[in-house]
Amino acid sequence: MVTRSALLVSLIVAMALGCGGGGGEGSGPPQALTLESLTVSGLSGGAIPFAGTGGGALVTVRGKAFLPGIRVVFDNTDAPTVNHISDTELRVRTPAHPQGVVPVSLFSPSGESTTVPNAFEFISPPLVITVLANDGPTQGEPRAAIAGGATFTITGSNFKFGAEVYVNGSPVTEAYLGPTTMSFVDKGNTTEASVDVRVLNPEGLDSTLVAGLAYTAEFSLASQTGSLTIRQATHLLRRMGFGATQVEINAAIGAGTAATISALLSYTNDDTVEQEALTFYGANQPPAASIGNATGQYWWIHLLRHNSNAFQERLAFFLHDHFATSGRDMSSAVRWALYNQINLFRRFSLATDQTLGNGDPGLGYDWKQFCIEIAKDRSMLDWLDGRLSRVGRPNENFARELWELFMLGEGEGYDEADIQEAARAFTGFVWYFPSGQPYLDFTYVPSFHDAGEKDILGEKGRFGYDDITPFWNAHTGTADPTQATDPADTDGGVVALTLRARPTEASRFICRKLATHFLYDEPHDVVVNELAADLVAANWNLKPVLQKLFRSKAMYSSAAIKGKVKSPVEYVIGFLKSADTNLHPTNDFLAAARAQQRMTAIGQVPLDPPDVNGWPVGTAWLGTQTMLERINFVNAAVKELDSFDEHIEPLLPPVGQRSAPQFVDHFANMLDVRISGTTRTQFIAYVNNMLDGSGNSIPYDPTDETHLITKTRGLIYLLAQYYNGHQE
Amino acid sequence: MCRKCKKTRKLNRRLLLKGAAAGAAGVAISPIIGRSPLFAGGVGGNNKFLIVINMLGGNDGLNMVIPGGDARGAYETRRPNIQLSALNPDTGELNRPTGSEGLPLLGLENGYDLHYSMTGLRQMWLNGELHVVNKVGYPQANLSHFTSQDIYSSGMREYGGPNGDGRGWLGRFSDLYCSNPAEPMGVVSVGLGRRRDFEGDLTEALITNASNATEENGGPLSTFRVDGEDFAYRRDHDLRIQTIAQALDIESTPPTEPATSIYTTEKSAAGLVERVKAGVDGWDDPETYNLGTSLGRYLRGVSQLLQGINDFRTKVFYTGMGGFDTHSIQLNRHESLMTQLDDAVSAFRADLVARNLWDRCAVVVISEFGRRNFENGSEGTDHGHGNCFMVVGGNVNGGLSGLYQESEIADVNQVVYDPTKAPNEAGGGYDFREIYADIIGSHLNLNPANVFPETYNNTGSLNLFV
Repeated sequence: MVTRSALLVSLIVAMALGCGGGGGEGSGPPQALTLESLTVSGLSGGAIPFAGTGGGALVTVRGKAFLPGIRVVFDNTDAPTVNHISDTELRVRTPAHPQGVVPVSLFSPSGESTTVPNAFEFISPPLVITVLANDGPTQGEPRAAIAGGATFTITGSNFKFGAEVYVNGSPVTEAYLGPTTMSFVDKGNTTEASVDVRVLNPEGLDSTLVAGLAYTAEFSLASQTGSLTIRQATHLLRRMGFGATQVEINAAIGAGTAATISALLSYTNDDTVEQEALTFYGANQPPAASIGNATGQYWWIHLLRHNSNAFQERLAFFLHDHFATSGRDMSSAVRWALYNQINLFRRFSLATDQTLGNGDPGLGYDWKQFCIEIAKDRSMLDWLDGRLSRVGRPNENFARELWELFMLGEGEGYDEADIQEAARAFTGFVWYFPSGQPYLDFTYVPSFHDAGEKDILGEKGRFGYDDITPFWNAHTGTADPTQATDPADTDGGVVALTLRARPTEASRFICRKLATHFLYDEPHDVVVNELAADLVAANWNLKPVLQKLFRSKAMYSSAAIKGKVKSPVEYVIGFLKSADTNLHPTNDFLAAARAQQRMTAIGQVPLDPPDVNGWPVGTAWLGTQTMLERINFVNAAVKELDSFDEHIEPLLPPVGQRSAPQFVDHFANMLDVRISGTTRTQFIAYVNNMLDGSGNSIPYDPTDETHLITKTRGLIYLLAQYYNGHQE
Repeated sequence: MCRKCKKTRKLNRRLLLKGAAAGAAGVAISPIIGRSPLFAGGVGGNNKFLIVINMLGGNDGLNMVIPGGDARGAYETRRPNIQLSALNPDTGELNRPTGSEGLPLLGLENGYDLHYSMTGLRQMWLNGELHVVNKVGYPQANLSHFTSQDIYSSGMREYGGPNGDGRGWLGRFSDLYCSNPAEPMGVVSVGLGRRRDFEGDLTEALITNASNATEENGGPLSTFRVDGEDFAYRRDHDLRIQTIAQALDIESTPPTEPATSIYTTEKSAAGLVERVKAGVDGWDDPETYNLGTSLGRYLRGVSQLLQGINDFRTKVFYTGMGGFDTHSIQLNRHESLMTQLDDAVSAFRADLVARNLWDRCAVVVISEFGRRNFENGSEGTDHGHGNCFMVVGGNVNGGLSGLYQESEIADVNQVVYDPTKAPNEAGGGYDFREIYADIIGSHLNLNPANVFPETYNNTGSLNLFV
């Protein structure tokens, strides 16, 4: 399309000027110096030729008797360049000059001169200073959602009625609001990009704010199209499964976005890896008395690292953070229950027609059913004192945290009176020793339950737990008949009531948490609310919500990719998976135990969240000493890379591609660490600087195994601690 | 909105402020901006320091300092199974866990008593080194742990409101008084990680763990180091450390979060390793701390850092312990917590007295809220309003402030201790910021005004220091 601006450029309006100076108008030979016309490229419309006050406009001067070396003076200022084309034509650049109509003079080296009064006008051009969104998710920012549709305000000066606005070279619908303000409706862009914003006044003077508007995809839940790049694939597998090997990343690129995500969301349970991890418990498999918390941590760390159904563990870890229960101070006779709770999290993403290795059924992403289950989860009953809450003497702890931390958010749709009433509903469980067993279990005692009418979230009824289905007694393999559905609770349970009475708050709360975890910190309401509406529409099934989230353009936006700080578990598990290594070469138990020690030092270990609110997010993870502990973890991990054949060779680039620069780039890709040019130079110099036994520098030899082992260990150590290596 | 969302909201602010500052000045920590001209020579103030001990979870202040006077009877009535002063009518004995049968409360004044296990703090009381302040809170008390902790950390009731600046009170303190880059250890966290309290615009707190390491192994700060490599790779390892240091040095601060903060933390860590090592080397382990408790370990870590105090010029050490959310069976649990606190503070006092540092030290013991005046059905207490703070130190003006009225303890509803009302009125109290402000002003000799930008009620009557 031909823009008006382009048309203007092609227009030349010649303007005859009266003669002046000592010359005379006539048909005779050009003896006298004459200025006949001034033509400005690209500008027309004024009574006399004009250009902007900033200078630099190209002016064609026509006349006679022009000699090389002629000066062209606007008012009292020389044109900065004068190009002598012929004795009748000059091309000059205007000087900078304040606004106003000025004379133009020519001074010939022959000594002749001529001045034309009122020959040229300097006009103040428009100036674009800021471009900020009036509305939409980027309100107040110089950014735009790629979907478009937001109104933007341009502030600046010298805007004229009839001015036009161009974004990235294309015209948009604008409104003139005065000499310092214009507005326009943005049309959006297909991808993330920084684009120019230009205001064109009717006379043709313009102003461009370079990179004045940045398009972001972070608000777009539309599906990403096209194939996965290596960066996107690495990012996706990191977010959905902590990290991946080169082989897995290449497989994801081959399969494409939709198929990769579907495969991660729907899987067949891996009973084998569960059996491997379960052996860590030895003869004391749950339920058993006196299971140490560390054993459970090793068990899960092995699964986090080795389960090929990476998303099963990743989502379970998210849920563990959300329903944060610690085994640290738990009575050892009941700590086995935490194993069941983690398995409840692991069952959440498992299809309903599948079971874990221990026979527990999948929940198929059913958030409602899941919340019902967690309310009577045995370690939760212990952790938040549910087992001690009795009719007439309710304990508020669980009711408060259920809403504040698990389902609604603090003060979102409930008050203190609701908490006290809901606490009455969560009464009736107690500890007991199963006959002849050394471990503790829980049982529901109807007479301990407050079956009276409660007034909760604006509804009155005899609410209780959602259902008191018989607990599966994992030891005897039977259901306990004392735990039957309580007929007193005629009006259902608090969890279902919460979702029914506060669907907006409840859906937004979990979707905000998911988006924060899987997309980026501080997701905007437009993203959260769209996901939340989907969750309600899907009758509280999270699978379509997660599918949309992982496939979205937002997932691959610059806000998401490397936009978070790796938590210690993400850092440790992610490193071990992407470098395909372990902290012990052969002994899984020791490898897990060492990982647990490292995670503890860095500040996060499974089964030991700081409190019921779970772990921190974002920059709260950064501590001075924990940064050193991260570096020391990588140091410990590279020490395990000691056999060339077993550990080093599989990590190397192909023979012939092992020069120092290739070596650096290969490992930077492997760990997905992006380094700056200066740092790359430093790292290349490091590879090239091989020290012999006496500390003398010798040339790096890419065929020497010792060199390759040394520099593989060293580069992994350097890259993983580089700041980009801590970005998730 | 969940706490995490509130918490991360500051990221954008940091991104804008720090990113902009970094773009202009090249470094996130500016040596000039925000430094008070009064103390332009360095950290400023005197050579004294403060230890904050945060009892996370909501300490039951009423069972730590047991009310006296008219309020005593109400206390006993409202907490039949967990009150510590009268015989239990059912058992005919004092409510005490096994092993502590018959232990007497420890007298303060006006009929108030200290928890029976706090013999060390009782001695400090007798020395005139302990000031107890009851009825401490903030307006419109909130019963959520996390909201209330955010209020304490930020030092602002409306920290998320239009006047909230995203900083913590110690971040503002540090920006004002510890922004000299040559003295980067003005605020040090021991054991509790990077809390919101430390978030500043110009400064980063030093955040350390504190290990169990023995004296031979270098003490609690000995893990603040970069580990070495196997023998065959040791020379190359030295080269690696040189390489990363040079790379980070040459590189300019990345302009956007989270890279900015990671880079800053990494550089700060690398820069402090040798300095901390030199400052705490040759440490003399007092061997009086109970390493079986987290607070014992953390205060031992503070002790080791105090070896270098004249060099580090640390003004505030922040530490604490968890486990105070005693919703159930609290007699045992609370006794254990009180014992741990008393043991750790007593060991710390003895250690500092021996090092001639006790007169330079003030310890403030805080918690996000207290617990209900009445017990729940699980022999525990649910979240309540207002709490008891303790200030201890060599120059503390011993005393007891904030006497309860009978009606405050007898009330069947939860009493709100609202510091917009006078402390001697029913339902009145002290704003926690008054205590901090007195410490900053009277103990550290620095101006507390800009540390707490929100208006709050300051009775000016506490006089916590001699």
